Amino acid sequence: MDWEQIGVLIIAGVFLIFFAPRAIRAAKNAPKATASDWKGIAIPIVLVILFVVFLIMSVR
Amino acid sequence: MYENQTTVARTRDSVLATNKVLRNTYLLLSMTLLFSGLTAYVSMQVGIHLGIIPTLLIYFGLLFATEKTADSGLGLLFVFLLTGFLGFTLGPMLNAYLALPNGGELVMTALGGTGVIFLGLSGYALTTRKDFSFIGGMLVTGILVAFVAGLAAYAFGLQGLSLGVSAMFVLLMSGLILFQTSQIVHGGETNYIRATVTLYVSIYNLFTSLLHLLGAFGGDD
Repeated sequence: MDWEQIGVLIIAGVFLIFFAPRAIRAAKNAPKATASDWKGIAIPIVLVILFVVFLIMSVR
Repeated sequence: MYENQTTVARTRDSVLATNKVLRNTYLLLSMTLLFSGLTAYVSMQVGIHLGIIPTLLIYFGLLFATEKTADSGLGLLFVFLLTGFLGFTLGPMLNAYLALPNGGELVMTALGGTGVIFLGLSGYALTTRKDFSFIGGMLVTGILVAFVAGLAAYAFGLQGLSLGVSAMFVLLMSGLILFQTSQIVHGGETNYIRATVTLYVSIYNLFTSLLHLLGAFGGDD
């Protein structure tokens, strides 16, 4: 393992220690979603997944 | 009656403010995209590769400076420094992909795909006016996990994990575009510099992740 790999792991560790509590807090404080909210986000995300699959097939 | 007039006036002011943030955000976003395209081109010609650690340190330094100065005119300078730098980091990557037999097709497909996804998701958030604030916490956690996993994949040379992280980033950045656009529409984000940085970073990550996925699954080699 060279110095660059060690440096990258140190950055990952620092990032995790610094931001993990904020991420947990943000997740806890997020507004509650209804079934309609989830449906509203599932549709575009599924379309993105299908579009990416289409792009991959188009360059094969 | 006065109460109704006040409510109507407040609503009209709120709509005008939202439209102003949207217009300024998309104007600044288009300028920063053009600027980073220019710095990417310069980087491709010069062929300088900074290495991952200096890249991360400069990126987070500029991101921090942009965040701290976003309420002043200095924020505009930092947003161009940040996006110009990110464009510059694309040069070596683009050179590597363009050296592949179907590299030009891969890069153009990733670029076009990024444009279609961004326009489609922005249009969806703007026309439906749905409030996506509930995914904010999930996005922060997801981006943190994906970022750390991406660094671990780089450090240990795990190609499979790296591809998984790219797939995760495509979904997370799609969610971030919906979230940020909805925040602007609903008045949750009133600073166009911060909104531009979020949307620019989403587009940048979407493009690099798509390019990675297309290169891995659609490359000739």
